[in-house]
Amino acid sequence: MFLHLMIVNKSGGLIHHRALSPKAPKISTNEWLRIGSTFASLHAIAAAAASPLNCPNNKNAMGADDGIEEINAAGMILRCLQTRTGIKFVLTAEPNADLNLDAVLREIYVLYTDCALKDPFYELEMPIRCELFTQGIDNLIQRYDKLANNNNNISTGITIGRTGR
Amino acid sequence: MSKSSASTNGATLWAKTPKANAELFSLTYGSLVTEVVRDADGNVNEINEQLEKIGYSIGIRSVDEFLAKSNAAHCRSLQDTAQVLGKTAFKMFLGIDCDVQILSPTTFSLIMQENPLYLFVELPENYKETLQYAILYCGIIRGALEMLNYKVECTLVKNILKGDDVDEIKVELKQILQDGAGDDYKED
Repeated sequence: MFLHLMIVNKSGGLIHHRALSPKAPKISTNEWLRIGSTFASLHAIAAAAASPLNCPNNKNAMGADDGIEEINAAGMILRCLQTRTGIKFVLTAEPNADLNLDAVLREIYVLYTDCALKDPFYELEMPIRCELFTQGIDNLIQRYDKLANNNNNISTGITIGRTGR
Repeated sequence: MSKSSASTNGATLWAKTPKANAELFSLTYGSLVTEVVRDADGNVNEINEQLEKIGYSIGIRSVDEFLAKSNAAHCRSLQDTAQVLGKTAFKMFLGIDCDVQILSPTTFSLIMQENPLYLFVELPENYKETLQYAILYCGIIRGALEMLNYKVECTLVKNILKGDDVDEIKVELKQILQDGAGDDYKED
């Protein structure tokens, strides 16, 4: 199950956050702001600490620009997509869930370009308050949750079949 | 990225893009230009500047749309960038093919045989030589590349409305910007 979505702008400010399931931890917006900017700093440190020599396919001669891609913890898995314009889309989910977080992040990026950036009242780098965008995210998450549930049902079906034999 | 893969990618993206009516597109831009002309009291330099600024604002936003939808590979050189810009991006947004000419390691030209903005457009004599009707594209390119840390200067060197046979946009790389804190915040 998905837990939370954060969108962090180029300068490390949180511009959007959203709980994606009832299981998401209840943390106040102020706390999320702090978590968002802390993550941005860690991301920058990770990028600066990695030697460019270790990344042969690196795009940036000045350092590894991928920074943190994934954090695995006992209670959650965090996946980050940094776009080439510097925005970070960060998604957390339950660790055992069979979810394609990368695909979801990419779709969220498309939603952001279609809903937030094309909104004439949206200013770049500013918090996203756009109903179309939040609706789009809800639909997207529902779709992936359903997909994951179906997969789970199929896989449990197979195990039952095997033990029966 | 090679030339052909950039253009195939462009064609696929164009097929997926929702289309707007070409006449509506051209007429909307036309009325925008007339409005700018009216506001500027006929001062041509100001008109060009305003149109370029409008393009810049479009560019800094639409670059994300391009990156999100195109899955274009990372560019390793300015030549790659030129191919992706001319063959993929212009095709995706406008449905036209640009010829890309590499002039030097830091300059390239985009050449357009046709321009969807020019439908029904005729410039009056007093503006024919000076008004750069398609300078919007220059602003878009400048804005889009600036978001990717390339500071470029774009000029419209040939212009069909002026009587040239093609439209040509020359793009010159001025500087590669660096992310991070500005010089004021650096430690000594």
